[in-house]
Amino acid sequence: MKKFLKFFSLVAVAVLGLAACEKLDDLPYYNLGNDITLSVAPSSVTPTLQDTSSNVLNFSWTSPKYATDTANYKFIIQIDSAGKNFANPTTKTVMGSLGASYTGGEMNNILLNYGFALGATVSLEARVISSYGNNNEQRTSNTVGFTISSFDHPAILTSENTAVTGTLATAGDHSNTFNWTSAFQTYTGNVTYELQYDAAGNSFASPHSVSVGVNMNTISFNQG
Amino acid sequence: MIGFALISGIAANATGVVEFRIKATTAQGAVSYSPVVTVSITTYLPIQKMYLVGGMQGWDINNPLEMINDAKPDRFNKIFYS
Repeated sequence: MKKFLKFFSLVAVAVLGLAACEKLDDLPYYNLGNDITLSVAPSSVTPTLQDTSSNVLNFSWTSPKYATDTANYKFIIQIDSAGKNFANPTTKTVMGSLGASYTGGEMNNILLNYGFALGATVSLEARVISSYGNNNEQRTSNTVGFTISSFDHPAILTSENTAVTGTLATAGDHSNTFNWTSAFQTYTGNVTYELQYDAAGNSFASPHSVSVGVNMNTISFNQG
Repeated sequence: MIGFALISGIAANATGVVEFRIKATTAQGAVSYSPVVTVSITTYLPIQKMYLVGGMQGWDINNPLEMINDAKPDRFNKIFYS
């Protein structure tokens, strides 16, 4: 009888314990997303100064179809020199869109920062990494290649005066100021300026120069 | 400004045109030149009179010996001494 009571008590405790558990709803499932396919157009482009603010390169990609609102899709576009395996990519992040464009100015900045020779046609590669907004479930697209060249964006120089003169007695007085717009205006690095001069007709074959400095846009001189 | 003209080869007490441009260089070495602007510059003789005081004139500061400018092109603005 004692054994029976002991067994019955254990069963009763187990039943009560199970009855006290609360069954939760199924955990939400966020799928891993689909592979995305990237494409670029055009595959070769030669932007000019007039394209500084215009889109010259357009990327589009397929949807990863994450289980969230498309506005929460995150895409990071990576661009790097061809064959570098994206070791030093420049990136652009977009949310919710299945495409992105680059202006001529943006691409010029990228090319100048990589140190490519001005005007040289170079091969670059791009890919897109998709993810949820919190960077989960990253998917890397295929790599697309394209060729592009940088363009010159010269400063525009203006002189306060077109003719100057002076005397020995007033040699220390102000004579002229030169101003100029910034060169390579979409370039994010530092630009060093110098003022070069030569007699008219020499075509600056052996120019003389005055160092101005970094990111400067004006310099003044006295008569002397 | 007169110095630019003289260095560019424009004679003293003359008028000549000097061209100017901006050279811009990025940190990675890309170089760009601005369009040229011209400035007409009228020069003067950029030289002060020099005087000598010494035993040959009795060390009289009020009666110094004026040194003569040599305006020959190959000697102008140069100092020779021995």
